[in-house]
Amino acid sequence: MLFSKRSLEGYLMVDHRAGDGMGNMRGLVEQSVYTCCGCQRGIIRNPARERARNYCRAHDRYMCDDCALSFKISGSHKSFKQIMDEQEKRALTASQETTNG
Amino acid sequence: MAKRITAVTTITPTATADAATTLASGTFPCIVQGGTGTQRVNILEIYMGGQAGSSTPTFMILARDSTVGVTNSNGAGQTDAAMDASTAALTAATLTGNTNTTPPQRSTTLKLLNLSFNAFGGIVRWVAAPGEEISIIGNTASLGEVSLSAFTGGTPGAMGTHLIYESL
Repeated sequence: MLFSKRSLEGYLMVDHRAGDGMGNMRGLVEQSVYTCCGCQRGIIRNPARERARNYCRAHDRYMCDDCALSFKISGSHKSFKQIMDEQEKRALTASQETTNG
Repeated sequence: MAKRITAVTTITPTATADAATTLASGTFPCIVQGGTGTQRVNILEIYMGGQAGSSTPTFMILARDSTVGVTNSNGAGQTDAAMDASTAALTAATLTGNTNTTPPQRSTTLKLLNLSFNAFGGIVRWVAAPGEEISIIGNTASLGEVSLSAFTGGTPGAMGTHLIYESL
């Protein structure tokens, strides 16, 4: 199946049609959102953004500005799935050590 | 693999700051915490529907917790139900609720979603793309628990909420 970056987009709906709204946020707002592959923060796509959107070629996923900056500074980047795998290994190792005494 | 919904019929959250402030029982819609040290849970959807009778800007935040809640249970009007009628109960069920003996504390840095809205007739719904869900692992800080709570500012109003999650 053909992979599309748009398949990575979630959905955010904020509906103030029946109420006062908040500041400039009035009426119905529907936005695509993506999840940063490094920290899982939800990012609303800004259609007016002129800077390049951060994209991790290694993991084929979008990144937030903070994770992209960290990647530029450190030169390394872990996806959140890698971080979770490492956490799982640590927990399993600790559990085995407790069991084995 | 069990999709479940934790819902609150009505709650008026208390605006709570990050630093050195815990989320007191019954003042926030819910936490989601892994049932074991290695359990993975995906957050699939969050919905909040305003029930306030006057304008109440409400700054709701989904964030990881730097201190996890202990002895967690459902508060008033809170439920946790399987989406599929044939779902079998897990041996170590994922924990949801908003009442704890040791309250959780929202991380100052690991905020995941800002779902601000006006609870006077406002509705917010966030849905993750398949495979791009927000996930937690284990039951320790900071990867093992997320909370949905109100941040300081505004005047939080009454709302009904649901959060759909899947224990893996």
